[in-house]
Amino acid sequence: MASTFAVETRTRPPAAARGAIRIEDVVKIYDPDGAAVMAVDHCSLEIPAGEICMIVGPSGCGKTTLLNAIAGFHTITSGSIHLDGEMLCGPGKPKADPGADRIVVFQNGALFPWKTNLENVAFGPVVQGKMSKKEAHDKARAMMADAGLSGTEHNYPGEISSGVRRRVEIVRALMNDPSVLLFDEPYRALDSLTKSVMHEALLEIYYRNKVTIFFITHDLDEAIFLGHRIAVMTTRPCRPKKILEVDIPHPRDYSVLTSKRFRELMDETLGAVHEEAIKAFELGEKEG
Amino acid sequence: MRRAALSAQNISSVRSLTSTEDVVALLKTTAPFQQASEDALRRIAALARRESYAPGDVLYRLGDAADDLYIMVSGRVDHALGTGSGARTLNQTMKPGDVFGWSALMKDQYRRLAQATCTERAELLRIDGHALVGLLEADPATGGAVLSRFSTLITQDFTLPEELVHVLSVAKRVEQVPLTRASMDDLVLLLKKTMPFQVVSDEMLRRVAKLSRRERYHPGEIIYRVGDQSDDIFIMVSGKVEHALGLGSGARTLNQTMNEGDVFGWAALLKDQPARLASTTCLEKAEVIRMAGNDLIRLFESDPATGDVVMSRFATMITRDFTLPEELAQVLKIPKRGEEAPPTGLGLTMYRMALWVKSPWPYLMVAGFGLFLAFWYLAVEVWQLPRFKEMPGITTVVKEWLNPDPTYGLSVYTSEYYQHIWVSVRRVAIAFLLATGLGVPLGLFLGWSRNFREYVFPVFETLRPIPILAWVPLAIIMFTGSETPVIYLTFLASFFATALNTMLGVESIDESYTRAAYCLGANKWQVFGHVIVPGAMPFIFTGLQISVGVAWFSLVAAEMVSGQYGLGYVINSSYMMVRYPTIVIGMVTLGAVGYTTSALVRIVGDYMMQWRVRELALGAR
Ligand SMILES: Nc1ncnc2c1ncn2[C@@H]1O[C@H](COP(=O)(O)OP(=O)(O)O)[C@@H](O)[C@H]1O
Ligand SMILES: [Mg+2]
Repeated sequence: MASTFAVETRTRPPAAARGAIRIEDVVKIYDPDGAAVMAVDHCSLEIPAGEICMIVGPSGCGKTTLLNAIAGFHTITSGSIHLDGEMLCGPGKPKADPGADRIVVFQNGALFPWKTNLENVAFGPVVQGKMSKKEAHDKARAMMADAGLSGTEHNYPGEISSGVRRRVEIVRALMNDPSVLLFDEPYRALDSLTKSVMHEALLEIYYRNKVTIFFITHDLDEAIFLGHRIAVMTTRPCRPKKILEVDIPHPRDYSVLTSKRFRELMDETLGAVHEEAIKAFELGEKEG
Repeated sequence: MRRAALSAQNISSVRSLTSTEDVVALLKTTAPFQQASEDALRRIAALARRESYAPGDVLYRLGDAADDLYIMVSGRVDHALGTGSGARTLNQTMKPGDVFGWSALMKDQYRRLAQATCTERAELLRIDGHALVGLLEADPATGGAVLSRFSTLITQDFTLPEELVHVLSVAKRVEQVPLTRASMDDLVLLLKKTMPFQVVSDEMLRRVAKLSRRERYHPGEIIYRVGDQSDDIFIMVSGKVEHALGLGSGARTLNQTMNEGDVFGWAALLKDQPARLASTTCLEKAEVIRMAGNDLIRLFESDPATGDVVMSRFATMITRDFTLPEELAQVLKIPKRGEEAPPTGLGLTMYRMALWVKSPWPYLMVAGFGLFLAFWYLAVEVWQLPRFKEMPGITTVVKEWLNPDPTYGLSVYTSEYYQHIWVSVRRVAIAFLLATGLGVPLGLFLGWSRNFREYVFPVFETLRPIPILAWVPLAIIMFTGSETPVIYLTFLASFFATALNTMLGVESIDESYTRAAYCLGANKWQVFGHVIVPGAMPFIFTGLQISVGVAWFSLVAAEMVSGQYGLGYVINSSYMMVRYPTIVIGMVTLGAVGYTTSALVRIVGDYMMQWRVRELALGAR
């Protein structure tokens, strides 16, 4: 299919039909025991449909807080978040409803250990009542096969490597045909070798399923390798400090890592991140 | 980035003053060079320049071209990582023989990553990195070991940006020296020393031996490196090899001695792992057996029964002996012929039993019992210790127990014996089932619903610590007859234990699971059914184990107070009637029956939590 390929070899993300996120003036203040902690401060960020937007920032700066607000795990104090023009949360509706259009891939993985991989992947459509158990299992099997996960269907997540687990988790999300995937440092615990495999696998999945990706990481290599854009966040309270365009055309593979452009982007990102990291370090920030 | 040139005018080269001998002596104190031959050191010394620096001299700055490697002779040099306000000085004192300026050895790293400043008059050796690598490459025997030591040092000493640590490795020069094939018997003997093969029949081992080649490597030779195709697995026969895990970021040398029979290169057995995960270099003349992983797997597919065990032993080795990223340690599973049946609970139990029998533990257990019984015998019947005089001796008890016509009316030949057991078991069963049926739901809701918990938990926590004996009067007043009060008392403690553990189980569930379920479109009740209940299951079963235990405990207390049957009653009434051997019979029976019920609960738990059993089976190895 030459046409899709032509679309893919662009710097900018392909125009996907849905998945545009608009974050406007979002403020989140935690109030543990009356001591107000401002985690996110008038943060605005627009992510066009189909973009891979990497969020980079020091630990404890409020990245997860922002992600949780989009996913609907907690309220925001003010501001609004829209998905494809529809308000998820905002004035009069402090908390978004979690739903299968925005699926989170968690830092430590959240496949249900008591369900087999196949049951995990089939979970979404079954609980939503969209498919019968059999239909869901058939589709899950097919999708797992596409992702090279055949043979692990009847294993429990605890029996497979965490690299494979992450892949199963992504397939579980894709089963629901989401508009947005939200990643919260999903590869943090992996060694660099496995990570590199995961990155290429993720891009491959992305090329086949055009979704918007909101991806938190602290690994700059990862950020540049995967992203269309990188939003470098300030130390708490969190808001974009600098937004970098990664003008390396997709599809990418690992040879990108050694390219000159990659190094230049690295220098640029490092500069921005470093300043914030020092600030965070001096403040003694910890993650929440 | 601004580049600062080295302030060359401050440096006085004192190279001419130094003899090669001095330099060689110094190099010998340098960790990476310690193993290098005199000859190699001489050649390295020829590359070295000796220089001295004054305080304040900057040796190099961040971003400078990284050409030379430095070795400390004397003085003091400080390092600072990072730029501008972010720069932080490394708190590291350099001793003579210490090396810095690593970048000169790194692949794809043409610039300095730190700034080095002389703080006390310093003397240093400088070696051109390129020339050094060239020299080491020309002599892989020494070079491999030296470079791999360097890479270890780099990762150890510096907290460098991980992704930058790529040490050059010696160019590939692997000349394998196939041995004349040793006799089959020899190979079989060697294979037998290998843990995974210990369970394999000789006949099968012979077939494994047929797949094997025996090879010899010289120091410095690289057996394989990260990313190579992983075809073969290796078994150590003699010599020494070194493994370095990971690339760049993770590269670290495994500090591991390989003994005869140890296996390495098992990436060849890993599922979805076509490439090597580590580099392995020969350090001392080594002999190995190698065989193609796929051949081995195919061979064991023809005999899945043995194959399963062998593969699971390989998995054990991999997870236990190596601190590999756990995500990679998944050994190929041999599919059973016909269907792809996952191992059943029974199979697993049998396997564990088999392992247990082969381990030293059964002997320890037997020895423990032996000592206990011997002490009993000696204390009562031989030494007749003061406090043991009145005690029934072991021979008396056993004789009474196995007597068809027992002196005190109770032995394995009398039907009363079984009636007592039956009554007690029935009471415990009823109480236990009631406690489970009420305690589990209560615990689930206590853990799940904040409101419910606010109502109920304070009451619950007030009642829970009241000892069972304190309930006796109320129980007798509340319930008529002799049976219901006993069951009620037996039930109480079990119920509390079950409910409390279930509640803790719900609290133990990681929030990510509930969040993930909501993300995937589950409603509140679906979250309850699909996440809360199964997630609390491990704690629930821990609670149930405790619950059967305390059920027996309370039962005996209750039976001593009221009731006309049961083991507690036997013990109490025998005491009243001075039938001492019968007391012991009752006690031992109680122990055995109690243990059995507790084991049953565990088996049911394992059966219901296959996922956990399999997880633990992987983890515990
Ligand atoms: N539930 C909470 N209650 C109070 N403070 C919180 C809570 N969650 C996070 N925080 C605080 O908010 C800040 C941002 O946290 P988080 O979003 O997790 O950071 P990041 O993901 O960027 O590391 C931290 O200072 C953290 O301590
Ligand atoms: Mg976070």
